[in-house]
Amino acid sequence: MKLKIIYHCYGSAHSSVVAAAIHLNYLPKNRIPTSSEILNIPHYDRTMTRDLGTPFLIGVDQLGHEVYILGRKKAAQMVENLIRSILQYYSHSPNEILLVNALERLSIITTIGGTMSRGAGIISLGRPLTIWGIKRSYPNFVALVNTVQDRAAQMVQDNSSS
Amino acid sequence: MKVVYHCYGGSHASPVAAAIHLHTLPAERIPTRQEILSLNLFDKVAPKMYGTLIPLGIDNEGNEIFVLGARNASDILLKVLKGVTRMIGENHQDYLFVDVRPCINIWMRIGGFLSRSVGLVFFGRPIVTWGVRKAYPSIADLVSQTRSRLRQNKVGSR
Repeated sequence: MKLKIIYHCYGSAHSSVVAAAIHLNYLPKNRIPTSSEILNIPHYDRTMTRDLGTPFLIGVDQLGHEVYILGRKKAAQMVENLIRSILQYYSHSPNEILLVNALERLSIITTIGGTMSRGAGIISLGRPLTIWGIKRSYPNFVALVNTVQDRAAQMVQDNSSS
Repeated sequence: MKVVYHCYGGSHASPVAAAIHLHTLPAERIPTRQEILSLNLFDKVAPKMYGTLIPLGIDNEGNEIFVLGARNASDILLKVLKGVTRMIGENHQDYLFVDVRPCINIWMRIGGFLSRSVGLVFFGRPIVTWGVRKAYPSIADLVSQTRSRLRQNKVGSR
């Protein structure tokens, strides 16, 4: 069974984008990427307020799982409840979707830069700050993606045995 | 269609609207306190449950009625609902969202806050119930508008 993995964060512009890119091998796991590598990943610091709530498909990983990003402001718990109840209503397995909070390991610098760039529209100052913050917390993102990939493998096993 | 009545907590305004829609509560008169309090969801949804889509039943024209407490994030949650429904291969164009928040009055706000957020059910519940009775005509009106919209949709799709 193939999963749908959703990395979610405040605005789906920085942390979920980076986590999804690492997951899909668009960014390396073994070293900290350059600024231009980060800037060139799709959706990075591009998401607009009207996109919040819409899951975007970023790619399909080597095992065939679809990888999405989702911006949900501060509504993480509500989004989790909602997705669980949708799957239940349509009688789908609760393990069809793996929801991952990509914001837990974010550097405060990225938060400030992101607010400047996406919230206030000061891109020239905000964007470099977000990149600096992402680089500083990059090992945390790699660790998160590794955990998620292990978890996905476990869920596939559980799904096929049940 | 699937009709989602949504409000702040999904505990007062939208369950009452859904109950009117499903004829559990009368549309032509203001119900008694007892009738309101006997609704399954009324003043029952805990804050940690906010965001849960709750199916309540099917009306006599075959529409399925839901309740959703979305706090102030209804814009985001409704997009998540459509996006995820589509993602799992189900029909995302089948939804009609009805915002019940404009019907909420100050008594429902105060009573709801005391009962749900602070946990003072004993004080909050009588206040919010009184508020619902005052807001009842406007909620019943919203439901009747929703019913006509559903009928128009049906005619339009033929």
